[in-house]
Amino acid sequence: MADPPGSLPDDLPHAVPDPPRRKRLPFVWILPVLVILITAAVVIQQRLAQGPTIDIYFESADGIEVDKTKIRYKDVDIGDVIDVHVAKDRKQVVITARIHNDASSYLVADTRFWAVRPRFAGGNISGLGTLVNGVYISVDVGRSNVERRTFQGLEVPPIVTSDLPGREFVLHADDIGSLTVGSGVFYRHIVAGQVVAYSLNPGGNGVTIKVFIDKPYDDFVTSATRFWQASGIDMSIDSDGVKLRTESLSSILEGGISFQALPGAQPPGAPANPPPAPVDSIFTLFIDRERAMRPPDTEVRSFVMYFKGSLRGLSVGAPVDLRGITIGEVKSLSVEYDRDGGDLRFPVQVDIFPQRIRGRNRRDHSQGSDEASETAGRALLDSLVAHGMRAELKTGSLLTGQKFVALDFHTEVPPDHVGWNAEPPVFPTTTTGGLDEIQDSVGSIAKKLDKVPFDQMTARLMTTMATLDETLKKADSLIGQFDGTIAPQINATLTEAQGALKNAKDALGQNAPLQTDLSSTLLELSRAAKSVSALVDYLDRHPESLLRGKPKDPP
Amino acid sequence: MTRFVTGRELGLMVCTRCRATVRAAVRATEPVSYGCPRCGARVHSRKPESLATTAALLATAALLYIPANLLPVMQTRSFMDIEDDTILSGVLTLIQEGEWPLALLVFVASIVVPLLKIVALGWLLLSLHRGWRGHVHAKSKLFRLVEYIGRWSMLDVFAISLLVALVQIRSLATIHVGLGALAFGAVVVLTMLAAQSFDERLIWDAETHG
Amino acid sequence: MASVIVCHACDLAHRRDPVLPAARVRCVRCGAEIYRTNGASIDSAIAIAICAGILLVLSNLYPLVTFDLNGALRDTTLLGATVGLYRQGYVPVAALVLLTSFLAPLFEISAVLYLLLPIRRRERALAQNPAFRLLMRLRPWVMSEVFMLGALVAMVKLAALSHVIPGISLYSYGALMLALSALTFIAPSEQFWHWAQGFRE
Repeated sequence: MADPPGSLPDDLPHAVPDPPRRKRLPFVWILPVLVILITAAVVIQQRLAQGPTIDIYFESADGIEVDKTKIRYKDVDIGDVIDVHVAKDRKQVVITARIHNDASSYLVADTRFWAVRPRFAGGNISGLGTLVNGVYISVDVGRSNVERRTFQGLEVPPIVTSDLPGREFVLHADDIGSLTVGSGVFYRHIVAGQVVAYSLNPGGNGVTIKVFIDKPYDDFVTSATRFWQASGIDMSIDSDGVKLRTESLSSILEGGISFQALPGAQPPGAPANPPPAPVDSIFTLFIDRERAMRPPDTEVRSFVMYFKGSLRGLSVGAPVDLRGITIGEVKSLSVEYDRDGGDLRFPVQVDIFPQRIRGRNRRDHSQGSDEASETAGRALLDSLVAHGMRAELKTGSLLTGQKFVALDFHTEVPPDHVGWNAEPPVFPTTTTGGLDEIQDSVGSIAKKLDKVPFDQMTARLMTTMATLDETLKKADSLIGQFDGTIAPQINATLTEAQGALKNAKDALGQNAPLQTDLSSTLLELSRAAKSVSALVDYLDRHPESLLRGKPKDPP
Repeated sequence: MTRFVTGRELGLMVCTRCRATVRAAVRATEPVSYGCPRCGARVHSRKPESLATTAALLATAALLYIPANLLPVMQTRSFMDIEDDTILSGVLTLIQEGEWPLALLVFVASIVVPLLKIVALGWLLLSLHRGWRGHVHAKSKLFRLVEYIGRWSMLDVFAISLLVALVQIRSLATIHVGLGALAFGAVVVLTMLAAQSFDERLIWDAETHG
Repeated sequence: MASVIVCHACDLAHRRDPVLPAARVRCVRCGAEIYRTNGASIDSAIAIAICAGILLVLSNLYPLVTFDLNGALRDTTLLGATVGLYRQGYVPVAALVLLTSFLAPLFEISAVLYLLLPIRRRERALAQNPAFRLLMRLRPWVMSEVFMLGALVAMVKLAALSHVIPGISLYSYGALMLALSALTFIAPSEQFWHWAQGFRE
C-alpha cells in the first residue's frame, strides 16, 4: 500500500490486537455428548427396569439351561434363568434367575419354586408340555409379607398351591397307616381334600398329618368334627370277632381319611351349628369310624380287677361288656405276685364310662354335686355286686381267641364287695378262668351228675339183683325137676305117638289097600254122581218122564 | 482449449487406495508395480489381470447362482412338518401375507441384483474381450450401478441369520440354515470381489484406442 | 503438489486447481467424482466416530429383537445372529455376517480414531499407512444399512407368526448406521490426507 501525500507521523501507536482466541469447540462435539447421555439414560433405565435376582437351590439342574429356561407363574413368563452352578457345599445346585420387575412382589418368604418336568406319580402324568417347550420353573406365590431372595426349590410339585380355596388342618395319629401324601380326605364319601404332608413327631411318639380341605367342604370342619382313617380295606380282629370294613373303592389304593361331625354331640350351651374351625386346628385321627363317632366320654372311672389264670387274648382296649353293652375298656395289664396267697395275680386296670350306664339320667346327675353323685354311684355298684355282679374274662370270638371283660350277674359266687379302699378300687371277679364256656358246660353237667342219687340207685340195684338171684334159683330147681321126672314121661309119650303115627302112615301109604279101596270107591261115587246129574238133567228137560217113563229109543 | 489425455499417456497413475496421482518413473505399456508415495499401496497403471480375475470370479459366481436359488436357504422345522424355503419361496410367502413392498424389496435385492451383476459384468467383460465399441457412458454408468448395489444382496442373508437366532423353540418351531444360504453368500462375495477387480478404465481404453 | 490429477475411473488427466475448502470435483469425461473435500473439521470426524463407537457398544448390550411365540420369549443380540449360524455349522456364512455387520464397522471406527487423533495433535500414528490402507480396503464391507433392512425383513416375517418386539439395540444400530454414513461422508480418503497435510503445513 502506498503512502498518501502528506505523511502520517511515525510514532502512531499500533492498535493492540486481541490475543488469538482459541478456536471454540465445534458444535459437532455435542453429538457424542448427546449420544453418551442417551446411552447412559437407556442403560440406567434398563437397569432399573430389571427385576431382582434370586437364587434357587435344587438337587439337580436337569433340563435347566442358562438364558433359555423360564420362570413362570400361572403360565406367564416372569423371569429367566441366568446362571446355573454347583453350590458351595457341592450337594446342591444354585440356579440364579432374574425376575421381571413387575413380578418382584411375588418374592416373599413362603413363595415356592419347583421345576416342571414330565412326571408320573400316583397314577397321574403331568408336565408333558415340557417335552415340547422345555423344562420351566413354576412358582407358587406365598402370602407372607417378608421379602426373600434365596429359596430352596421343591423337588416335587406341591399338592396344593396357595391360591387354592380351602383350609389346612392338622391331625395327630399313632401311625400313618396306609396314608401317603396325596391320599384323599372324604366327606360323606365325596373327595373333599388331600393329605399334603406328614411327619414323625419329635420324640417319635406319633405322626402329625397335614390335610388340605377344599372349599366348600372346609366349612364342614368344625370343633365337633371327627376324623378317622378310612383306608380301603380295614380288617380288625378283636373280641367282637373279625370285621372287614371298606369305606370306598377310591381309598383302597392310597388310603384315605374321612370326616364328619358328631351327630348331636354338642356341649351344653353350644349353638346348633358350630362355626368352621380355624386354619391349622388340631384334630385326632381315629382308627375307625366307630371310635371316632363315640360320644366323648368325659367321665372315667378306673377299677382294678384281679383275674386268675392266663390273660392271653386280652388286649389293651378290649371292651368291658355289660350284657352286650360296652361300658368301658381295658386300660392296662400286668402281673403281681400275691404274697398273701403265694400266688401270681393279674391285675387288669379298666376304665369304666359311667355315662354309658346312666345315659338317660345324665341331665339329672349333671345338676347335682359331684359328691352326691359319687356316693350314689358307689351305692349302686355295691348293690350290684351284692346281687352277684362279677367281672370275668370271656372269649369274644373263638376264631380270634380275643378276650374281653364281661360283667354279669352270677348266682353261685361267694359274696364279695368292691374294694373302695384301694386306688383304683378293686372290682371283684369270679375265679373261673380258662375255657369258660366249655368249662361252664362241663361244670353244669358235673353239677347235674352230682345231683343224681347214685347211692340210692345202687341200693335199689342191689335189691333187684338179690330178687333176680332167687328167681333164677327157683327156675334152676324147676329145670332140675323137669329133667328128673317129667322128662322120662314125656319121652314115653313121644315114643307112643311115634308108633301111632307109623300105623297111620302104613294105612295111608301109597299102595296101602285102604288107599286103593278108597280111590275106587271115590271113582264109583263120581260115576254115580254123573248119572244122577244126567238124570236130573233129563228130568229137568222131560219132567213127564217121571210118569211116562223114558221113551223107547227109536230103532 | 482442452484436450483429452489419459494418465497413461502422461505416465501418471492413480493409487487405488488413496487416489493420489502418482508419476511413473518409466512410461511402459505393461503394468508395473510401484509404491504410492502417500499411502504406500501398490500402484498400477491398470489393475493387473483385471479381465482374467474378474472373469474367473464372475464365472464362479454364475455357477453358484443356480444352487443359491434352487437349494433352500432356510428350513422351518415344527412339530408337524419340515418346510424348506428358497429365496423365491420366501418372496412368494411375503406376497401371500400381503407384504408387497417387502416382497418386492427381497425379490430385487436377492434375485434381481445378483443376476444383474453377473449379466452386466459378464457383458462388460465380453464387450471388452471382443473389442466392442460404443455406449461408453452407458457402460460406465452400468458398472457404477453394479458396484453400488452389490452389497444389497446381503439383505436376505442378514434376515436369515436373525430368523435362525430367534426361532429356536424346541419342537414347536426351529429354523435351520440351508445350503442355499452358503451358495448365496458366496455369490455375493464373489460378485463384489469381481466388481472390485474390474478396472473400469478399460472401458474407456477401448473407446480411446479403438 | 502435482499440478495434474488423473481420473481414477477413466484415466483422463485434469489440471489440478488449488484445493478449495469444500469442493466436489468431477471428471469432465466420465463424471466420476475425482475428489471431494468438505469444510468439516477433524473434530467432526472424531466426534462422529466416537458416537458411532458408543452406539456400536450399545447395540451389543441389549437384544435386537424379542420374539414371543405363545408365551415363550426368545431374543437375540447382534452377535447372537452370528452365533446362531455358527452353531448350525455354517461357518463361512457366520463369518461373513460377523464381518459385515460388526467387524467392519468396528474397524472403521477404530481406524478413524486411531488415525485422526494423532493427526489432530499434529502427529502421525504408528503404522499410519498400513492402517489407512486396511481402512480403505474394508470400507466397502461395512454393510450396516443392509443389516438394518435385513432385520426389518426378518421382523416382518416373524410378525406373521407372532408378536415381535424391537429391542433397544435395534434402535441404536439404526443410529449407528446413520453415524457410519456420516463418517464415510465426512472422511473420504482425500480428506484424511488433507487433514494430515493441512496440519503439517
